[in-house]
Amino acid sequence: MNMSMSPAAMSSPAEKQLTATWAITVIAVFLVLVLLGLILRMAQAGELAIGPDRFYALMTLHGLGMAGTLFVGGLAAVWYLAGQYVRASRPLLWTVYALVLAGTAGLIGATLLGRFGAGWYVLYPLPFITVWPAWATGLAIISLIVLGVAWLLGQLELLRALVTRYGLRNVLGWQYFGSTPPQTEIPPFVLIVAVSLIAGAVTTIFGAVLLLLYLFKWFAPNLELDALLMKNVVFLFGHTLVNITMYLGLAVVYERLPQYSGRPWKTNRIVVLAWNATLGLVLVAFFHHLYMDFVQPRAFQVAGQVVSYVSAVPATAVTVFGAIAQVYRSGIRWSFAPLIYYLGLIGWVIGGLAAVVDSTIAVNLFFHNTLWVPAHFHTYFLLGFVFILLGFIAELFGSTAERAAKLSLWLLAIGGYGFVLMFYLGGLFGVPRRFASYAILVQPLAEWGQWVAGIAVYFVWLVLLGLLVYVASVIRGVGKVWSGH
Amino acid sequence: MTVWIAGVVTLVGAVAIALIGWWVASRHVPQAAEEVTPRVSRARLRYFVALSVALVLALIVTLPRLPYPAGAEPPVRVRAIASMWAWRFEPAPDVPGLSATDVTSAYRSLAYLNTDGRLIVPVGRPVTFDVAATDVNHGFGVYDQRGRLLGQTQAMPGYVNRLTLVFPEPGSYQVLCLEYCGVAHHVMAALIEAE
Repeated sequence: MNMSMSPAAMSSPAEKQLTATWAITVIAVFLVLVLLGLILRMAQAGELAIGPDRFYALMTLHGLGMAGTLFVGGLAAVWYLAGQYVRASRPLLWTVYALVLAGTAGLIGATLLGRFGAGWYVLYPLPFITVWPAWATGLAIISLIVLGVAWLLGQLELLRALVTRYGLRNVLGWQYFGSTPPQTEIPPFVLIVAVSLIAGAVTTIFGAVLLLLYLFKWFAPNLELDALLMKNVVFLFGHTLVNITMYLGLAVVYERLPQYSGRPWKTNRIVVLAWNATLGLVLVAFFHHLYMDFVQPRAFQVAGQVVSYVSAVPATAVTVFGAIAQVYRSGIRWSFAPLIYYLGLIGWVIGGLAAVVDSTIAVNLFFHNTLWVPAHFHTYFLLGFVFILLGFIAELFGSTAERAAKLSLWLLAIGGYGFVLMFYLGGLFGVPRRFASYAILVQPLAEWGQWVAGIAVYFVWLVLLGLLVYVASVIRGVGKVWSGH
Repeated sequence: MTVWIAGVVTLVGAVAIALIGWWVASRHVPQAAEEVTPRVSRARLRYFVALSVALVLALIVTLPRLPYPAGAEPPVRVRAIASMWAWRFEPAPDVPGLSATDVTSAYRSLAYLNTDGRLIVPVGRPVTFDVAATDVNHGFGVYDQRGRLLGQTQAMPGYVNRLTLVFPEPGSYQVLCLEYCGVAHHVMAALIEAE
């Protein structure tokens, strides 16, 4: 790999060490969270007897942990790559790191010690009507507030740095609809990060309002909140958070793939149009989480499906075809980083297809809260975003153990696709999600649920093995970064 | 049927995506960007048109098939009330003067509770469930004997979701909770008999 083109060659030792700290932490926490996921699937396969309270506490930690960890992983990655263009406050990112650690520690305490098991949606009023102690609920809420503050600070500071250099209109690419060529050109990376952070910051504020209301209720249990309104708010926040995590990963690919293809990936009117449209679409599509709330206004339900469908257009027509233009007959040498970036795009698209299918109301009637739901989001997360993040981290540490890295890729791909396939097969037959045990299901379905869970366990072991091989392949680079290379 | 179409679309789509991805990446003879860009742009335009047409068709076909209540409800109505962690059914037939537990044969086409307290519903007729919850969000999901999901809706505190189902065959149907609701979520079940 041409080291002179790696992101590691482009920034100061202090920046590299900061990002390396994030990367190591994210990988370590991710590994632990995968282990939690393994325990959940083993329990569902009937291979492990853990009580339901512990199952649901682990499920809550796994979900919250993954959503949060992958988001901050994406944020750290784009922060680092943005360093070529702007200067965002490093002390602030260290502060964000410390707050994230604190919030995560709190969540671990609430779930593992307090058995807080409200699920990662923390759907009102479940956190407050409990078998777990009230302190666990309070600790979870406060930890989530700390995390939310950290995420908001991180998003706003990076956004501030981008807007200070380029201006808000330019950061959104609106200058491309004026004179040609535009006065201020921006790389697609800047556009995508700006779109992601604006959407993220806006909805983090909604999340903050939700959590503050939860905090008030924890102090004053008689406070009554509207369950439907709370559900809308939590899905606006959560849906956007996971989607912009994906977009941050895409920003990394737009930025890094050209280094390997030798072809520029430039912003133009169509790219600007697509990503500005995405900013609007992502804020409305969350209604597809509420199709089974028949009391929602009909217009919201229809808007959810229409917008979810429409959002497939900029995603595939612009990002996918942009990647095709990058790769097709470019003579690209498929070393680990571009290969895992490219495969990550494929995983994102496949997961996106399954999501769009489920965003059809007539289909959602049969797929909602079945295993189809974890099927699609594990696809675009594990086989999409995580692939991209692993590619970035390998570049950061200057992975030279190519054969080991590619072996890890095989293990991750086979393990990952096998794992999610078992979810799809479960969901297709209506196996419910978030069940500690399938024993109560009608007999053919109970057997099917348990069987696919058992097969999934083997594939998770492959994923874990792949991750360990990956770590071994990049570990030599860690020392170099720490010594200031 | 819907489920199978969704499954086939996803599988065929996933395989197509993987094959296209492989094909694009494996063309080894390099070409200059100036030659590639126009070809990719033309392909993108064709794709954009095809996708837009497909999405519009899909919207036209699927949006009329909404599970939401429309107009006058059929007379066979049942209140389904979820609590942590059990279901309670209260037949609420829209017949003046008829009580929920009236099992007179003249009203056998309606829903009622039998002497064991089990909900009995008619086969082949639309049955409307008014679904609500007393405490947290639950999910009202009805499965047939083979484990196929007939339909579902959310059971919420403070709101009533109205779901109409047809029970196609006589026999037992299982109600499962399809919204995570705490430690006994996975054992919160009930039976409905169709006769």
